[in-house]
Amino acid sequence: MKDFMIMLATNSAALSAVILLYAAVTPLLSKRYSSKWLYYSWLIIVAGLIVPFRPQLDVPGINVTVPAEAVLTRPLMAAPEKAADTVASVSSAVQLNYPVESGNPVAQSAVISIQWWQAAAAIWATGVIVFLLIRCIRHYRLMKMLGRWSEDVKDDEVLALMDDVKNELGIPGQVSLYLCRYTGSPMMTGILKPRILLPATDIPKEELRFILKHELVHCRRKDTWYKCLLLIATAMHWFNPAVYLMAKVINEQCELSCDAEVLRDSDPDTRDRYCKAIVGLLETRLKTRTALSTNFYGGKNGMKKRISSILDTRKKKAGLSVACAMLILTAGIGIASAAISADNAAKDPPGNVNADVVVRLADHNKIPENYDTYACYVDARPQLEFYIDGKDIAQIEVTCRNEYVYAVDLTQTQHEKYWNVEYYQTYDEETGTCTFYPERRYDKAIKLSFDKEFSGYGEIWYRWTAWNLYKWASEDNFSHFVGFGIDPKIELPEDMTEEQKLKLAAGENGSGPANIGHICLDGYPEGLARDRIEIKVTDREGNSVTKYINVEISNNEFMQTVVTAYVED
Amino acid sequence: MREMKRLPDAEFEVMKIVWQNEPPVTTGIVMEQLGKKKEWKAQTVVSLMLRLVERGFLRTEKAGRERLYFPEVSREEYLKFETGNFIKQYHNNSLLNLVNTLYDDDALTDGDINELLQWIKERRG
Repeated sequence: MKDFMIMLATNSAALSAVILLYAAVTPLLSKRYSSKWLYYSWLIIVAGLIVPFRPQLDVPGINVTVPAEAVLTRPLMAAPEKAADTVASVSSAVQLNYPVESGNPVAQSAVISIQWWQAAAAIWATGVIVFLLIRCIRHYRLMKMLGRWSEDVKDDEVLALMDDVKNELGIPGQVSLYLCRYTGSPMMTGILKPRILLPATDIPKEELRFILKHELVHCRRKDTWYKCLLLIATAMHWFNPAVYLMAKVINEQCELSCDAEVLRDSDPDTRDRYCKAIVGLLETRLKTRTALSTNFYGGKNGMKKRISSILDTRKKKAGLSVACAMLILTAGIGIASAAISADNAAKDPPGNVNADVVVRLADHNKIPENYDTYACYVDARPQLEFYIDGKDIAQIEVTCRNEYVYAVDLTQTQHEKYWNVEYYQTYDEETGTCTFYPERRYDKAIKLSFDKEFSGYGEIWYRWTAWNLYKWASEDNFSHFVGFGIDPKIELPEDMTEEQKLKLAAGENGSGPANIGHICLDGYPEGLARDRIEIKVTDREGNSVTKYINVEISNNEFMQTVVTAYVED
Repeated sequence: MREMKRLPDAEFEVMKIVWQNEPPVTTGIVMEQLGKKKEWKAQTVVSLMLRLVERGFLRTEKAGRERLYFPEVSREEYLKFETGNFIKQYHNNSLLNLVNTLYDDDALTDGDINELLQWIKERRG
């Protein structure tokens, strides 16, 4: 749908230029080329408006993010934890251990993004429907009115004349003829069942012949079909003023070329008589006019153009070159613009996604908006929270060397694994315990692929977590373990044995060795205290960029765990 | 006369017969020219005509055993009303109508036509 909207807009804009150009040079061209060719050359543009088949322009980076009023509920994440609460939950029950992550800053700033094209598509479709509805109602009402005032033609002479002209033009099938007091001008309508309506006036036979011939030429050329196509094109491009100008010019060309067809190979005398027939109608009209008329600019001038054209005996060329020019312009514009866009893409150096990709590190001393490429904070355990944002990202791969990474997709729209808590943690209602499968959540390498319409990259929550350090904590009979939480001196409930406390702290509890407690250690082995996270981002054009996060875990003078991290391009 | 309203189709059909005939018109004439074609009962035609009397389109007189009807609104008057009404509502943007008119009648004022005729005379002269 996004591609379609871009294509439609591009097509509309590009063809507007062709329409304006063609409309501007039409007076010049009509001196040289036959109106028939000018008329049918417009059909190429009409077809181009209806079938936007040309290679589309890809316009990357037009993303409008609209903050929505509705905020998604986040059942996954618990509220920020205080160290004291951590102790309480650790001591009272083991199964509550998992959701106790330190606060999730993104939850508060949740937005739903509505893509620009979704809004545009909704407005466009509504416009098309309303336009067509109004047109249908009008057509129906007009037909009803005409039908009401129509009477069968009973004059045998007129009917014979009609048959005569019909045979002359070689029109097969039935064409009905009516007298209609409602219309001020002879007209032809009906797509499947063509009807000719004459104003209820006694028109001299000589003049009537011309008039019938004019209407039957419309009939033979299937001008009503042409007008249907024009209507569809206008409905699809209702927002484009150039299309209405086009409709006006086409209507004019339609009548001009119809006159020309009636008068093909005619001598000046016949032309004069044809002219007289139209004048005769106008004169009668003046006498019998019943309707109040509104003055529309162009009516009079259009008529003058008509008469001039009728009386113009100069030989006109077939406008094959005009038709070709329109074909080339209509089809070519799309190809040219596609070439331009391809050219632009080629000019972009590989890795241009670089500019768009931002890696931010959560720092508990800052508010989320101020998260930066550097973080240094005291935490209850060795861990790092970070975010990767950008535009038109197709894939993100995160790997680390020593420890583990995982992701939680707060948008809950992408790969299920990255948000579905049930996937890596099951809850047994009978026993009231959770079973946690760390191997399902933690990995040394994760890979996220995104849907084309996705834009909420910044809402995905990435974690580096020091699982190996917990193993280290339990080594040598928990000898490296010094305590819990941000302040390692917080005391555990008194009824716990020392061993229980140690095991609990290191994750040795009812959930099995997999669970992670909040720990502080007396020191960190060289190999585990440092890690390097590699983030490889690939955009939709196949460009990729790699960023690194260096993480270091250390203790401060109060034996608190300090996490230091910075982003490296 | 009362304010004119658009006639429903059936009543309009009756009025068309009335206009086609020399007044006065009887239900018999209408029945003969229309009722058979439409397969209407005599009572239907009578009630339609009485409704037209109510609307002020017909006037009725009793002449012996027969009831005579006279048109109160001429066809031209009514046509003027319908077309005027329609144009007021629908004229805008007639460009996209699915009809081919020989000329755009509504786009020409009487003044325009006079000027055009003059112009053509000069051109051809």
